[in-house]
Amino acid sequence: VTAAARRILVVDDSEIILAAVTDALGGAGFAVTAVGDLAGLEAVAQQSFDLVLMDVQMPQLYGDDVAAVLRHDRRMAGRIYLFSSLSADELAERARDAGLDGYLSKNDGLEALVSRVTSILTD
Amino acid sequence: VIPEQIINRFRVVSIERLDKLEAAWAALMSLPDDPAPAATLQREAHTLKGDSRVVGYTDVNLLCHKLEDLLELARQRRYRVGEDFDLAVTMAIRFMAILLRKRIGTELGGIDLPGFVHQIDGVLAETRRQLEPDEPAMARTYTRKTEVAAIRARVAQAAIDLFLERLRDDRPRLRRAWVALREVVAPAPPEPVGPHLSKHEAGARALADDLGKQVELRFDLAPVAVPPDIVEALDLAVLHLVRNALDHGVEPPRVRVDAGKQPTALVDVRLIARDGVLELTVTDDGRGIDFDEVRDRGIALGLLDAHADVGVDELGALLFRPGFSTRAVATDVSGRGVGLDAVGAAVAAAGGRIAVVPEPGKGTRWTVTIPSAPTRIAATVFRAPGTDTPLAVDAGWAVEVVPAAGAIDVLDALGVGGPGSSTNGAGVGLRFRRGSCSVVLLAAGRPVAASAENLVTAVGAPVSIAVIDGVEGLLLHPEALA
Repeated sequence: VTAAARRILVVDDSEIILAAVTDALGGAGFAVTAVGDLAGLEAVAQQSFDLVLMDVQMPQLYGDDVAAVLRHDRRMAGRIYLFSSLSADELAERARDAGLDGYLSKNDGLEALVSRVTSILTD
Repeated sequence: VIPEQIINRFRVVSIERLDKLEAAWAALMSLPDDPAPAATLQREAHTLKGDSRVVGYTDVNLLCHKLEDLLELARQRRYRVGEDFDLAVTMAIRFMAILLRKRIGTELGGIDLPGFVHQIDGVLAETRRQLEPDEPAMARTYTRKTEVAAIRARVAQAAIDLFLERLRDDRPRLRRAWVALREVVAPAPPEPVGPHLSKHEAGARALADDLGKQVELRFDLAPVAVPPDIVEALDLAVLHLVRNALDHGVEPPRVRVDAGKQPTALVDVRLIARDGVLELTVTDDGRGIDFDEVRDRGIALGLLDAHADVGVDELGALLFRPGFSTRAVATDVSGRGVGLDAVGAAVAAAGGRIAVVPEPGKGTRWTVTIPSAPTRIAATVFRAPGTDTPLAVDAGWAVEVVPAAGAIDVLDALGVGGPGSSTNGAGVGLRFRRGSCSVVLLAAGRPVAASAENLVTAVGAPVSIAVIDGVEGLLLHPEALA
């Protein structure tokens, strides 16, 4: 399976994060969909994604709550990871409590993001 | 590699974020219980932290981490924080704005980011330690003031850089940033010191009466105006040194007569200004300080080695330590408030020193010296081709008009010359000479004499920002431009 076949959804209220992550993951060959709020998320909710990267602190809701709904109510099949600059301990706890697949830290930078995503999706 | 378009958008969005952060912080400082700005602060700082990391602005990201630490501590204290803490938050925000504004690929000469971060860590540690009672309150206040002074010094260089950047490109946002920074670093206007010191005369007379001592008080104060921190240090010094003289130096009349002295003691308070230094002396003709006693006390407190050969200067320094007190001097004068330790800390915070000259049996002379360069100086003023900003040089430099060939274009030399600013052949050269140093600067025309008032100075910078005949301009240090 090539990277281009892999669809990634990024949910973040920061337009900068969305632009930078779309550019980096797109450059690595992934098909990236970026949404900045709940309305945007509703608009793409019927599509399927191999990986969702979900920010935690957003103005309308907490990302881990949204992710829990996607995972448990909407039965989203792909992997869901939190993607935030909160501390690793807090992210691990939130991901575990919401029943998600894990977390990626914004504090590790873009290069680390691309390599982690690549390894997650080629497992 | 992140596309330049995303980086540029990041810079624009982030500067707006910093504006929101600054406004929210200012709102909390006046209304600490308002939940809305507290939420804004937390959210904007957090988003900026994530953004800056992802686009690779590591210096902004580092400051964001520190800002989050400061904000978390402020939240725990329900936003009731001191002036130094407020300044650290404000400066962290403004530093980030400068870092975001700087042209890509350029260095902001003089910004010492690790040093500033270290200062923030100091403020954080100090705030966390605040409730620990091991240090007298006044000394603690002045320790923090010293830290604030260090932050100001670092920020001064940033303010000069920003002013120079404005000469190149005077955008409204840069102008607002300059105005904001200027408020932080520009010296407070000087106030006359005389009234602050002479008001202690009445209190001193009352105290002498209470103590049953006959004293002639003499106040002889030069009519000078100095910045508020120096006024405060001198004020505290006169209050406590005079009390100390009355309480511990001056003997009761009968003791004086037995010692062959006049029954009426003399306490003399004198303030003189010369060569950019203020000198306050408080002299009494009392019993003097018993330095053998000071030495014994120092050894007993573990501050001195019993076998060391310690001079009077070193013993004198002990008198200004918190909690140090003998029969001759008291750090807390008979329970009337704070004492010599606070004087020592206030004088140090104002950049000065205290010395004591003892003459056992004859009296004591305390000397406080504080550097206080006059803020207004006589200057030679000119304009360079291509700018309306006035340029000035201290009138201590001799000046003559010479041909322009080979003259230094000041804006080019400072790295802010725009295209076409060096117009060959235009204008005249001004040769500035002092001692063995001689520098020829390019000018649009002949110079005039005017006065300049220092606004922002930084150690080692080739220019200061000054108000020159009412207009902000550059006070040049020609030796640094040569």
